[in-house]
Amino acid sequence: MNLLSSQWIPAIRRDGSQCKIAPWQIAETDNPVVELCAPRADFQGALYQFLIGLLQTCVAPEDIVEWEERYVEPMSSRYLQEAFGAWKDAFALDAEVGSPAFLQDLTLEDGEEKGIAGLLIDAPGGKTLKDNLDFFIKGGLVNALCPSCTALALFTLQTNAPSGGVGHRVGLRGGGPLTTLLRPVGDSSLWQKLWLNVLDQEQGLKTSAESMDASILPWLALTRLSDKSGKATLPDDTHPLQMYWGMPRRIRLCPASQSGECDLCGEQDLPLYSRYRTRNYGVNYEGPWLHPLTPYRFDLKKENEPLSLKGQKGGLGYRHWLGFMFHDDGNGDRASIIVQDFFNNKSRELDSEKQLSLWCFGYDMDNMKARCWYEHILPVFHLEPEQIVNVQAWIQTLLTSAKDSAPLLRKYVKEGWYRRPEDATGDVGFIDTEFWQATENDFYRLLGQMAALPVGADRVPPEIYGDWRSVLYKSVLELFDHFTLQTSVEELDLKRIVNARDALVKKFNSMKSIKHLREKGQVAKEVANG
Amino acid sequence: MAETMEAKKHFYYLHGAAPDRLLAWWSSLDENRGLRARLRRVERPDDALLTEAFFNFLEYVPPRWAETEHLYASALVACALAQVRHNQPGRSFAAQLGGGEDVAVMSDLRFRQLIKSRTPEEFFRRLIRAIRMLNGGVNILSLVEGILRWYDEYQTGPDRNPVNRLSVLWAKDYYLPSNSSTTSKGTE
Repeated sequence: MNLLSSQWIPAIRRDGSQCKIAPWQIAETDNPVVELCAPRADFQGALYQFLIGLLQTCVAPEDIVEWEERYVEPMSSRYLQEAFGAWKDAFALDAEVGSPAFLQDLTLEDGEEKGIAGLLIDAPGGKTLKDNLDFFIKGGLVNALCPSCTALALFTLQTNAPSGGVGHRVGLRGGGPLTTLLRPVGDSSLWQKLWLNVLDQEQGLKTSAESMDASILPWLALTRLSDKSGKATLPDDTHPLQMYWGMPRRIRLCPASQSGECDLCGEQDLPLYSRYRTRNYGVNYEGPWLHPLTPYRFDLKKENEPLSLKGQKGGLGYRHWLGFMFHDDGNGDRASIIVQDFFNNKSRELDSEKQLSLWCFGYDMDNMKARCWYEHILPVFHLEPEQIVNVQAWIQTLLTSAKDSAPLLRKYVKEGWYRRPEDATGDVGFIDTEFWQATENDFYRLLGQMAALPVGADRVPPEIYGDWRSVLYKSVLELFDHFTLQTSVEELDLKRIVNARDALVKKFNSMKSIKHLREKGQVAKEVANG
Repeated sequence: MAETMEAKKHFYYLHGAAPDRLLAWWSSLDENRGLRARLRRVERPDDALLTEAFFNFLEYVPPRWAETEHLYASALVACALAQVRHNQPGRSFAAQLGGGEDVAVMSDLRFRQLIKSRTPEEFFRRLIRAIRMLNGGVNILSLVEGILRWYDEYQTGPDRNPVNRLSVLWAKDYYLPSNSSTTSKGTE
């Protein structure tokens, strides 16, 4: 199978029919493809990034004008077929060792042989299976994969690669990075969903090489090893487009030896891959990489390199909105380059009536162990540059007070529960999660009000601050009552609970950020009364 | 919010009875010591049901109080009020048991027993003891409200929102008397 000419990408057309397409078919206009349908959530995210990377690498628009033209009217599928065709030789799924094979080590012949399930990030590892500890995701369920699923597993692993033991390198963005992709709300073609996340060449990702080049696609040459005599790979060592094609793991598929049913997608009568070989000390990405599709945390003191944001316990929510859209001065989170580019350039070119959202996803990894897969949709507002500065400051105020409230709630719920809360172990992060979920709708309601203010407005109606303070106060108390009293209350130590509740109220009201909201809210009353 | 709560007067939940009528009946006991003595002597609220004092009581409250399913609660109220010597409005009944800055009037253990009462007889016995501990000086309307809420929960089960349960309301007042909901300085 060749990833640029074979029809292998699972997709859905406008009339609802499922099909498999070759990459160039994303530009078809007759009954166009509207969505991808990979058999797993992590594959779906990877497939999007594969196609975005392909567009960025092969047919990136020259400038914002060309970008906008193409957004409205896609390139012809014939043109795309030719453009992708020039890169075809690099995208064979398997080939003789010594010839390039997609995302695989050029010359790897020996190496540890593993079952194909090892390409799946959540699959239990060898030791887990041996010790019989595969409690949640069982071993032995995936033994053979069709070419389509194999290609997706390979790309997903190389993109998200966690540390996998000595010398098994992490991905270019670290293990389990978050990806944020812009998406139109409502009906749209797959082409638009992808093109929104392509940068024009003036944004620093110029395709210097007209043709394939190992500085972009690392599997075209010998792997830059990172063993004792090898070295790390920094941004200056390669072409920036390699960010879309990072290859931290040395892998070579063993040729398909049988045919039958794929253990993931269930397709019949396809050649099946069941084993691959791997070695450690592959490409070791280090240094200040900034992948265009990922938000990074910048060191507020500017001493350390930016770190890509990862999936984390507690998942994603509106508390990430500021950091994923613009930048959060509370922790240094900064929006991905693609989102920055949207507000700097693309937003102006697009019909502001058409709503957009930001699709955020990624693994929460604990070293090699996949703890959770997270996905979340954040709303995007069309804002003028002069609005952004203000909205950002206003939102920061709301967010800071909410970020102060969540741990307070958790602390006092524990005080209500336990005689010695400081000794109580166990994960009570679900309290925070409930808090964020309970306040989410109100946050976006107020955010919507702020975004709707006229462009010149440099002050927000002070009621908004008072409103938010009430939302936080009400949520904190309701959740406290829910967690501490939702049982046969007569059996509880009501003294402890009543005291914890009282302390919670007092502490809440004396927090700096809450006082701040109150002061800002009170300006409103005085102005109105006076 | 604190600002709005301060202005709001506590509204007692009395199953439609007029506060001044209840207080009037209680005052009238001073003139009818015989009736009061009869009510004070009962061992269980049932004992009051056929007394002249109780029939007299029912004339001061809405007809609902005389309906079959309410009679027991009405008797509880009448017998409890017969134990009260002085009406002390201000702090709620449970806050009075808590005692404020000083040592609690009713011990923690006894208080927890009171709110854990499983039968009306148990509740009645413990309630009478509580009133005696206060030397008969209680917030009458707050006491009546508590009795009626207790009986409601006994008959129809507790409120789905735990914050509205009598035991939680009383615990708030008992353990934090200075925040008592009927005093002027509410924190919510």
